[in-house]
Amino acid sequence: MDIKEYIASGILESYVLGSASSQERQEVECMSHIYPEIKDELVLVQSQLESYIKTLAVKPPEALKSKILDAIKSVEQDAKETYNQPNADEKKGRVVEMNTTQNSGNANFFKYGMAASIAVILGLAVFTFNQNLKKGELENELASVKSDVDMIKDELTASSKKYQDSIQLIAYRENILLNSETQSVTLAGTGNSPESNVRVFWNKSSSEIVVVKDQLPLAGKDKQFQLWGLVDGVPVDLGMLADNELITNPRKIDLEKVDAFAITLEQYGGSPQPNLEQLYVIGNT
Amino acid sequence: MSATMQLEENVVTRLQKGNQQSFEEIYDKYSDSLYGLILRIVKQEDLAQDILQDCFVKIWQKAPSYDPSKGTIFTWMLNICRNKSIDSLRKTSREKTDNGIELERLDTGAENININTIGLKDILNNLSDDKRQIIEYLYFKGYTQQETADELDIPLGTVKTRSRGAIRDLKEYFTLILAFWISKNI
Repeated sequence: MDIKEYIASGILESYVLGSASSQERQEVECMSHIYPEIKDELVLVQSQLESYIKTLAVKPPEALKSKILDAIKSVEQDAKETYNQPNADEKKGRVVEMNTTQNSGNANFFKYGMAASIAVILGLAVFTFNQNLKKGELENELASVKSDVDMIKDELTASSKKYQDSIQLIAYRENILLNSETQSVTLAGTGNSPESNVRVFWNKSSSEIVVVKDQLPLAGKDKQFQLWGLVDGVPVDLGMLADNELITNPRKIDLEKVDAFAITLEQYGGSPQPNLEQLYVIGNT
Repeated sequence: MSATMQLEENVVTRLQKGNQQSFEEIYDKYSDSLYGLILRIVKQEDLAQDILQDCFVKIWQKAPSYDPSKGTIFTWMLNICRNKSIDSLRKTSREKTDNGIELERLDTGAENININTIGLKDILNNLSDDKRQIIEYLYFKGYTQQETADELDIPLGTVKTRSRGAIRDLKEYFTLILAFWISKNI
């Protein structure tokens, strides 16, 4: 059995605090008899409570002492009960006289028979208890393995779904890029960033675009590139571009006509109007 | 075995053989703690003194059946005193229907602890209220764990964890007391 678990169950504390049921009390007494570790822990918990009680000490009135000492003078001590530890000389060797008469033979048979039965029952009780503990341990272990397996299954399902999704997305994007109706617009670098170069693939029939950043610096902290469509000289917000995305996912645009695409550097999250001083690339359709 | 334990065993052995001198030694050594415990439970001095007397008579009577292999004589005597006090508490609270008074007493209970002389109040307060409450109900009021759970309106499992925690805390708490005592006295 797992002694640590037994100790950790708190049963010893409830035994010491007097809140254990009589069945639990018997169990603790039996277990601490069998397992020295449990006995040690029990003694420890008892001594902790003893120390606590000592802090509550109050001196009783002096007169009470003599009253009590008087009181016991007229009280006989109970005889030692037989089930308690025999005293030292008794321990050294006690010879049980065998009685040969029929009657007491039966009585002895009955007595020893009872003792043997009780021993067997006790033994069985301890055995069953141990078996139950072992069974409990195995059940716990099985449950934890099962939950591990379930967790791994879930993870696997999730990641394979993610994988399938991204394959679908790539196929979808490829469709747009390779579609004969898709127009490729090259956005060339401005004076701010002459080496920058971005392509926008625009499929008019599905109103979708894919942005390919061939060359564009990182936006940096607290900044983000924003894509604009110019329609009759008016800039229309087409969303933000993430630094880590070299080819964007297809995105819908609600425009039938776009004169030019442009990208500006804006505060993180974008601006309602483009900051033309931070224009990085622009290209006519 | 340490010398004090051996000495104690001798006192106990003599007590078990009906030696009144050793009974007096036991009285001198433990009556303060036992009286403190009884007073803590019944909270009335007259009653506590009667119970202490009954308990010591019982201790004397039953001494031969005390079994050292099951625990110290102190723990054995504590059990006698606790059981008698709680019996008496149950008797009086059955007679008394107004439990408002009792609740009030519970609140001030912790302050009555006679440790003011060594100035340990603050340290005792370290034992958190909910755990102290658990000890109060289980040990000093003699409630079962279920009764405690019902009374405090908390789950039975919480009572179990807290009673465990309370005893664990006592361990640290006594280290503190010891440290405090040493700093005051040495």
